[in-house]
Amino acid sequence: MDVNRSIWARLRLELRVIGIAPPVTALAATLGGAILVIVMHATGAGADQLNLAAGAVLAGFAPLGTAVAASSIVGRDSGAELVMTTTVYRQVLFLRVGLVVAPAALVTLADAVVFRSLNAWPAGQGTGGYVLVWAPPMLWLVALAMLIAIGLRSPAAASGLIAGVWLAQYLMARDILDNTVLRTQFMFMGVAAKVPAHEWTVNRIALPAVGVVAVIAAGLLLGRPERFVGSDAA
Amino acid sequence: MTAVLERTAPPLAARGWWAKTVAAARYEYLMQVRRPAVWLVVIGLIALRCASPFPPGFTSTTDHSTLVADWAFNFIMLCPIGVGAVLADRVRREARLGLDDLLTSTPTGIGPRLWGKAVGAGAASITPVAVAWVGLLGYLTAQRGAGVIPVGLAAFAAIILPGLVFVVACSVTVPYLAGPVLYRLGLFGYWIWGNMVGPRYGIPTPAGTPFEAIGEYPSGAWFHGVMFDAKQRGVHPTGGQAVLSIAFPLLVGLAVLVITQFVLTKRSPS
Repeated sequence: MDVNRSIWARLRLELRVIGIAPPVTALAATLGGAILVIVMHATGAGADQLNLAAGAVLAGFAPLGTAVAASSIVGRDSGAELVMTTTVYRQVLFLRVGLVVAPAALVTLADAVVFRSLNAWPAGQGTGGYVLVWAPPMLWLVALAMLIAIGLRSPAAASGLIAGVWLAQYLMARDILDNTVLRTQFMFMGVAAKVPAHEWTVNRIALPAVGVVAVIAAGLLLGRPERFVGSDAA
Repeated sequence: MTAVLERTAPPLAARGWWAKTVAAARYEYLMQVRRPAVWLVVIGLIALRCASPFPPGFTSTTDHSTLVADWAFNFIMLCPIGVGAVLADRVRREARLGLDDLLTSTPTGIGPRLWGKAVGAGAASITPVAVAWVGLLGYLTAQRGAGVIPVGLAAFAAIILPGLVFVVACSVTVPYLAGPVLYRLGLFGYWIWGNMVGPRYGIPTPAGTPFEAIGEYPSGAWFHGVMFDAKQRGVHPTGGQAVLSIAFPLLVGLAVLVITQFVLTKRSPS
């Protein structure tokens, strides 16, 4: 019982440290997108437009909002030195990322259920799509954003570059799909581009695999947490 | 000794609004232009888009105007997101560092600090874009001759700069209200919705109208550059529409700065 109480106290403390802005930003993207799709459905938008919008929210806006929000928590500790003397900074930072990502992931899952019930659903996606449409891109984008933010000590650089990569994937989809390597890292596979099932499977495995590598690299960089002490954003 | 103690310039309090703004702008410029993130993000986004330039094959055109206009369109597609991202955290920097009270006690008022930040930090964030553009013009001049230079400078001023000035004005004001994190996401959403989600998606949007900030109208009207969303709307822009398309983002940017100065002055305790 005491253990549970101390865990909740710790989570509340970390939530206070990260502030309201990151969780709100992460939820704004996925909730705002859901409202857009629901309004489009209510106003009689065409099936193709609904399917496209639902796919864009799940595979695009929810991962982007979560990644921008998660990367913003880097370098926010005015008392980072004190935190490092009492605990492992890597654990603290990953816990805070989890506090931003977990609610956004749950709401995005709820979005997927609602979209499917409204028949606003990316064509060809089965039950697995409830998770596989959005979770691999979300892990990929969040992990890359964290790696950039930690590597450069700059949430601004992370959000700018990640947003640029996201938009480049949208604008240059044809070039990316024509490249066998880049195709495995295409976020909108199955939503903006229809491909054979085995290519979709490879893509859904490759995205989180690269994400895990990025998380490990970020963890290694956090092995030298003194880089975050006493510096303004780069 | 007396000569050393003599003032060579009047104290800041005695100087005018303009001198204070210039001093603030100079400091903000130097502070921002030295940030590695500014160069990395802005140049990175330009390079990302120009790695596969749009529309395919335009680089082989013999028309200088079309050539530079299409390059300008490739520049403006992604880099405003980077400019906005690296500017957004400048707004609350003084508060985050606990300097607000100190700055309020100085004779430099809110106005010069706000305009100095907009001009200085904004110019610094646009500097990588200008450097990349000059580099591109140098390359094109070596290939096509010096005739590219005047057209290139005009294309920069008409296609790239108005949208960037608009983004700068919003990025040093809106985060006062929304905070930098939510603002960055909002800017990204606006840039896609307002400039790239054309009429084909069935969502009401300024994309393809003179009220977009991506420079499509000046590009099409004066440089015979590529048209995208405006073409979907069946528009063949006139010179007047191009002027409107430049004036609109500049005036909105100006209005946003004036309103922010008014609100901050009203809220100031001094």
